[in-house]
Amino acid sequence: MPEKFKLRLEFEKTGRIRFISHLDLLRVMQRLFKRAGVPLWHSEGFNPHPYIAFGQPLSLGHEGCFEIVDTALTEECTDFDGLCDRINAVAPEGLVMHRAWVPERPLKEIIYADYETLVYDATTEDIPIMQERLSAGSCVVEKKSGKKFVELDIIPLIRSFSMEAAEEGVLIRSRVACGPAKVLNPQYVADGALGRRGVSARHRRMHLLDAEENIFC
Amino acid sequence: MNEFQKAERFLCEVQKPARYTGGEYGEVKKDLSGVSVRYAYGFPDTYEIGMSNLGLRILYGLTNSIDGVWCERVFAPWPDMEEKMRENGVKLYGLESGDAISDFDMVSFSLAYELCYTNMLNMLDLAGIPLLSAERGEGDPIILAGGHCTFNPEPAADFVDIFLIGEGEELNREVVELYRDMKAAGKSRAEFLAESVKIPGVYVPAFYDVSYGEDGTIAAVEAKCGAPARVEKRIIRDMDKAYWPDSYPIPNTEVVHDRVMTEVFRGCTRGCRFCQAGHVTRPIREKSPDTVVEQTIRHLEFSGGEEVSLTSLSTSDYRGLQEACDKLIAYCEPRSISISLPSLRADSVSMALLERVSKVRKSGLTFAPEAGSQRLRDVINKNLSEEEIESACTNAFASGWNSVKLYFMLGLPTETEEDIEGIADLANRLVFLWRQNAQNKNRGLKITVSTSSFVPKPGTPFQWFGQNTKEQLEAKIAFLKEKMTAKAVTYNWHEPEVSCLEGIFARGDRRLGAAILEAWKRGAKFDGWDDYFDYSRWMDCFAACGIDPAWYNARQRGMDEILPWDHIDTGVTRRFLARGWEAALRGETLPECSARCGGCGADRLKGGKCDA
Repeated sequence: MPEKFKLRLEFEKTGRIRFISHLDLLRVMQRLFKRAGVPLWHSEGFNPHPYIAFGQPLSLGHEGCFEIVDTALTEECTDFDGLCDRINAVAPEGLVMHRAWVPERPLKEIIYADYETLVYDATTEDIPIMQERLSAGSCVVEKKSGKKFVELDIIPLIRSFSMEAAEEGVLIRSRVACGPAKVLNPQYVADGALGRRGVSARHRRMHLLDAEENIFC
Repeated sequence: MNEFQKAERFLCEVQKPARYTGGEYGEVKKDLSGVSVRYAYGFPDTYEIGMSNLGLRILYGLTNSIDGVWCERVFAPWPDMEEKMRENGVKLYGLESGDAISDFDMVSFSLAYELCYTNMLNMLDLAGIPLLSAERGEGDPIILAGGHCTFNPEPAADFVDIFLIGEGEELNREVVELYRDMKAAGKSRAEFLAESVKIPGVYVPAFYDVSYGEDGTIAAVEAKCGAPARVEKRIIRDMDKAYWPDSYPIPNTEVVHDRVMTEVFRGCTRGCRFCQAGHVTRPIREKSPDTVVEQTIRHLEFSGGEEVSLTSLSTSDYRGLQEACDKLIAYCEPRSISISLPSLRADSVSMALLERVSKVRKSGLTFAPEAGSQRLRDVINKNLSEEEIESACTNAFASGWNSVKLYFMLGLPTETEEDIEGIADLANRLVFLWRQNAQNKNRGLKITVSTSSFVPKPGTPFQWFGQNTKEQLEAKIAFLKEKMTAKAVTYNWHEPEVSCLEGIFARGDRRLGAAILEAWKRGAKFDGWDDYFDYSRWMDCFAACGIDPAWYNARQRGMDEILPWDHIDTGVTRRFLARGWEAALRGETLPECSARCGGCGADRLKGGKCDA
């Protein structure tokens, strides 16, 4: 078995490509690395496959500005910028590698994420009531679980938030649970703020953070 | 805000939104300042099907290689997306720009299959383009159509402005360039249409008057406005010099076939009498092994693909197969790229080659005997003997294959109960052969027998044959089901209703346009999909339009009847087809082209000498 050199990349998934699923992203990455001539390490066995792991799955339709992906190579990478450039040259629109390095911390140390949520269904006048709902002792939303909906109190999962008026609606900035134990989809922040489900909103994940709320790297 | 930007708001609410975004690696974007012709390559089925289509890869690249032309893709939205689009007033848009295709200059449709007509209409409607050619005017896009269905273009004649008959690498370029130049010169739509018929392979149905006799058959087809009396199909004479793209859009989401495909030849030398493709794509033209290898590696490097398929109608007949495979294995093996060889014939299966190709990944073994008895295989000219199938399977079992798929057709001309029983007998014999020869019986044997219902197609020796009725076909399926007793054999069948509808359109005339329009109005779409196909709705539409469907599919045509597609010249002569029909009834086979020229006539298209 060849030696395995771990590699971590920070990337963005923005624009039209936000509409591909997590599973599709995995396939796209695999193809992308192959096109770029990245010397991917493969597992042994009947059906060899490369090692690709993401920090936290990004929901379909959400943009991610500083996402994390881990992979493994068969040789040591010496030119991290060159590697990113090579990948970016053959990447689909909206998938951009920012930087690469050898990881020191496990992905499970990601605990929080910062999101920007643009709520189309709200205006400046709604901000006070939205703030009130998200500041209450509890805020129960209907969470989709399979084909039915279950109740979920989002307050314990929100670390902090702020709101401001935006051109197309209201912008909510939130820091929410995004770790191995607890995850909150920012759609429920929007739903909770407006007190109903299925609020029309656009989400962008800005950062992944560790338990100390420092940017994970 | 363009149409895509409007759609972005609701894309998360539809299934598989990646179908509707574009933005893939390999997508072509152009600066509008250098674009004078905007062209939409329409595929009247889902993104997943269209993006698996080799024709799209070639023609997308080709059209975009034309100076001043920007070609975008557009697929049929799934009904959930259609509903959202209609609800929100979003018009059908090109995936590359997100702009409404109603503002484009040309919209083409790839008509691969008879049941995609309603999708074409639905796409035109979603785009806000008038459905009927006669209702389109200055400012509306020119609607083009090509593909295998257009060897009988007549059922779609009401909806299409220009049919492109035959292969597109040269034809499409000539038509688009003519349009571009005439648009620059300020010429009108009518002037362009009149000029376009000077390009060989262009068929403008509005320039042909069809009259009918009292019995409903065609009395005459008259060309006017300078259009040729017969439109001869276009072919690429030298496949090594044909356009081959450097790049193509690589889907971001899973599609049906996400692999590199390289055609190794066009045409076919086998002459199976039921097979439309084997006749209408003649004459045979091969790529040299070096071209195949170079084109394959070009696409593997571009795409990062892990699988390549060498395609054609009968890949084992490719004379350069050994050489091309040797060279490709040398490239693919160290890179863990698998090679698949579809359309292998049992009689020429080189097990050594299959063995070597499957070193990387072993795929299943598939044979298409098509008919259950030697007598019927002779009728259809499937020159494949019982012994050949058995020895191929014996070899395969002995070298470790445990799964075989067999394809057959029901409803072939002259078919009897013995022929059908022969299907079950063959499957049972393979079970026996496996028991005798399998290396490792622990893994079990899986034989899958699939039957489809035969649809007589234009341009074949069976173009006169009255198709079996739905009831006859259903009875045959039930009969065969009874006979399939072995545990290792799974029997799958296609429902005959779909084939009966195909049978109506395959040999239909322009009078069927009314029924297509009516069916679309009543909600028909995605007729090729089980979830949407509604046979009784179609029957209601035929009745409402005063059309007797049986007259189109079940009627045995007279040998001297004018057929709706007679003015489309595939290169193969009607005389050759008629001889084939008579020989079929006598159970006489026709040797393969390379053994003896059957005189089909298609060599004329290549200047009098084909590659066989």
